[in-house]
Amino acid sequence: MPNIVSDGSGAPRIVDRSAFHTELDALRVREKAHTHESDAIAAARRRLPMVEVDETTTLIGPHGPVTLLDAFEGRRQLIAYYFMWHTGHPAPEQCEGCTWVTSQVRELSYIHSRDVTYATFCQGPYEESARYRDFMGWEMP
Amino acid sequence: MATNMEKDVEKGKEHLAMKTPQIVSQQEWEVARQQLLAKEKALTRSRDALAAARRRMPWMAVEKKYEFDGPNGKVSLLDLFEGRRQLVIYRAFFEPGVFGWPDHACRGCSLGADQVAHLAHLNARDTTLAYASRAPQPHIARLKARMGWEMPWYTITDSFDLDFGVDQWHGHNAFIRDGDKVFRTYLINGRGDEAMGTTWSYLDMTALGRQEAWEDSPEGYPQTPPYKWWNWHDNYDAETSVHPLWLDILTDPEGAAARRREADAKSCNCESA
Repeated sequence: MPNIVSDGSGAPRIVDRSAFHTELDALRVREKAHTHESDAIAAARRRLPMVEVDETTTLIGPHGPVTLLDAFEGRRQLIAYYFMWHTGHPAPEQCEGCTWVTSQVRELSYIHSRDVTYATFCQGPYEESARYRDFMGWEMP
Repeated sequence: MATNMEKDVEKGKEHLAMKTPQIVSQQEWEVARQQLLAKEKALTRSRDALAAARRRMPWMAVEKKYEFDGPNGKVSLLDLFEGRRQLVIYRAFFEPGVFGWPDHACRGCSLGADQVAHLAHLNARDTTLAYASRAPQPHIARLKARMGWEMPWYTITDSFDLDFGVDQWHGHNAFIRDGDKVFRTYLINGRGDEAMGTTWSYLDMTALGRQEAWEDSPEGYPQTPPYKWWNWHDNYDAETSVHPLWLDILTDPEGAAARRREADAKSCNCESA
């Protein structure tokens, strides 16, 4: 790895604590604006219209066929992540991007307490993708 | 007493008492979504620009020799890097006087700890994440085991928390090292901490960013093509160069999919023959 401190032309300035805090405070204004814009977009999402979806759509779960409504697990809202499953392929040939995204999903008890269920949907036989899920140590339905 | 699940089920059966948005057709919904998507994309780009500005922050030299307790005894700030180039330290509140002590850490910090993505990806970008608290190591070891947390977690023994603006409230400090010299490069705290937890959130606060070729970084900063460095969290050590199949998928996604289908068809023929 290049030594950006001593030989890179993009070498950063080395400053003392007070100069560091001055720059930090200046950037903080943008940080806060970004957070607030993010809040505003989330507020706009809450005002999007809704589309009615056929709740009887069939999915396969650990205990056989269930409906889309069942996938809510009794909670009011459902987040379904669509995982690109390559049927018949071994674990090393499954989608790295989907694997990456799914491995960023952690403790679900917090969103459950907000009445939201998180679930992964994919195509292909349930047993196959469930084996991959267990192998990766994932716990979401 | 009803279990949480039962209560949840009951709630689901209720009809929505709140004022709900219009129910529209798929097409109308798509139009509304596309309008919002433009804002979403603008926000993503503004986040990238913000991270680029963070990479142009000056660095603050850390001269003082800080000492932490780790699972194997005393360690220095430099040791916390675990040999990697960059370090992000989150100050978590776990000590006498904090609600939950000694069974639990602060609720907010615990929620944060539960969001931490698998660290193999961050480590693969030469960056270490560590948590630091005032609680002695035996308490930290017990807490980690109880909650299933696996990040390195150290005990603060000196003025580290005061010196880095995390003595009263939580916060993430980012550091970089040049040989044995350590520099502080950024601080995220307050509501900024809410967004932390994904690999990207940690990389975006570091001096070097995601270290990907598309990023607007100062000249000479280490960069590699996006996606190619990704791996399964249990496979980074085993596979030191990019897997040819993964490269194929990245360079020619449609062709790779076609080839995969072809291989599928062939294997089917073999089985039936």
